Amino acid sequence: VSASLGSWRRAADAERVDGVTPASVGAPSGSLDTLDWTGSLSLVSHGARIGVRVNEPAVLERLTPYLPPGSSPAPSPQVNDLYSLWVGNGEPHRLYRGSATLAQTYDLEAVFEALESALSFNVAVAARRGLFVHAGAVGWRGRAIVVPGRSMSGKTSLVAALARAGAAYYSDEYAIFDERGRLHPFPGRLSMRNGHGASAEKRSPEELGLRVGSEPLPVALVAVTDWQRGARWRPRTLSPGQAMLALLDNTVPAQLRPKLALTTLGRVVEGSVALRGKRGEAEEVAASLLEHPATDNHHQREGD
Amino acid sequence: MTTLPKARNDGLLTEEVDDELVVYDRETQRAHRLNRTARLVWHGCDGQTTVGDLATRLQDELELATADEDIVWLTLRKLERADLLEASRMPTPGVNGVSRRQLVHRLGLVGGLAALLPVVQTMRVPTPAMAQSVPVEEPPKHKKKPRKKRKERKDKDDKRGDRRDHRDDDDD
Repeated sequence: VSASLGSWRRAADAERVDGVTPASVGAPSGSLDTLDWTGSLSLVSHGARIGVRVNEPAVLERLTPYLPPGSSPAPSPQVNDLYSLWVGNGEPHRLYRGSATLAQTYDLEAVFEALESALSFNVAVAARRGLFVHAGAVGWRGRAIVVPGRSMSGKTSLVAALARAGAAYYSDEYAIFDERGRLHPFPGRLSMRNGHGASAEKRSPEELGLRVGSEPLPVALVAVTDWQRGARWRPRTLSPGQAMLALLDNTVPAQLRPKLALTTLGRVVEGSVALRGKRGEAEEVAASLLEHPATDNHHQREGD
Repeated sequence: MTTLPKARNDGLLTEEVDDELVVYDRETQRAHRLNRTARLVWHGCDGQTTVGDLATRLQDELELATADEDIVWLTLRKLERADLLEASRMPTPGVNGVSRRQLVHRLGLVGGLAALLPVVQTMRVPTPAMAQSVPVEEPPKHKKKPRKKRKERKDKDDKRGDRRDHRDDDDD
């Protein structure tokens, strides 16, 4: 997948989306270009084209687990965004997007994780196929359960509990919806925290023994919930309009592609039930969601 | 006969979901949810229909006991605050502002019928970075204020009228 440094091109005709220049168009990398970059890769994920260059080729092999799930080598070195990872060799390691510094630390693993987050977010913003919503998601009895929420809302622990209870793992960070409102997998590593507020440790679904779903699924349930110590799961049902606002509030490119967001989320909510409430322990809520009548489906596929 | 203002169209995207309407305002980057009543009134704002005609239409559509113009006025105020009407066409209300509470009593909207009260729920649409970020927690609450007597609270609620409803309400 590596491409020669001299072949890098940033897409000059940055596509304008709904009249807004997308944030995916990175700033020129400026003086970074003069450094001695000796290895690189370019990838494409959901239509987003991204490049990564490094000053130590051996580092490229270690990046594989940190690349966006489902991404593949790009056929062309032309990219919309370029990341530069400088291994410090006694100095701090540095990560850049364009010319902007994203991370600077002696901990190379921390730089890899910063790159992982940045790449996934980049794909979520710049994707040309699918609508990315900040949400965890699983498949169950041929339909999807979606848990929208931002970082620290506790969605990972709920998704993990659902998957441990037999659901198929689809996403920890971003739920991807197609134009029909169906969920597609984005099965990245899960950010597991030992206690609320603790630092996260990323684990692959395979390490956790989770089964990963692959089929696109219509959405059965949307669970809007935050963890709260001692809370009991007594949700109320949201109207479709309320559910749509809850999803829109977590839609990454909502401002960039509002028309796509409205039509896609409209399809998501029209066939699903949405619940909102505080929750305590993830296992209790997971069991309740899996037994919810909305998840009954004659066409059983994933999670049977 | 007071004519309704015109609904604003410029810069708006809409999506019908069941009997509600979600409106995206590209100028302010806000999204609004209009419940059934608010949607009917907004769709009725054509600059020609009178308030009385729309009240009658609402009575038919919502199966209300009476054709009450105040429910139209209450909705118009909400739509105006959400910037969903053409500003220069907002007529002067023929009555003093009526509150949700007063309408509930007048129209007998108890129990589930309270859902027929107009709701315009507004939210700021997140930027990509906001959608990614950890939500800001509310600051800790300070010392509790002494509770007011029930009568005082009720009077104040009636005076505030629908001001409460325009916040990012999610309680209908």
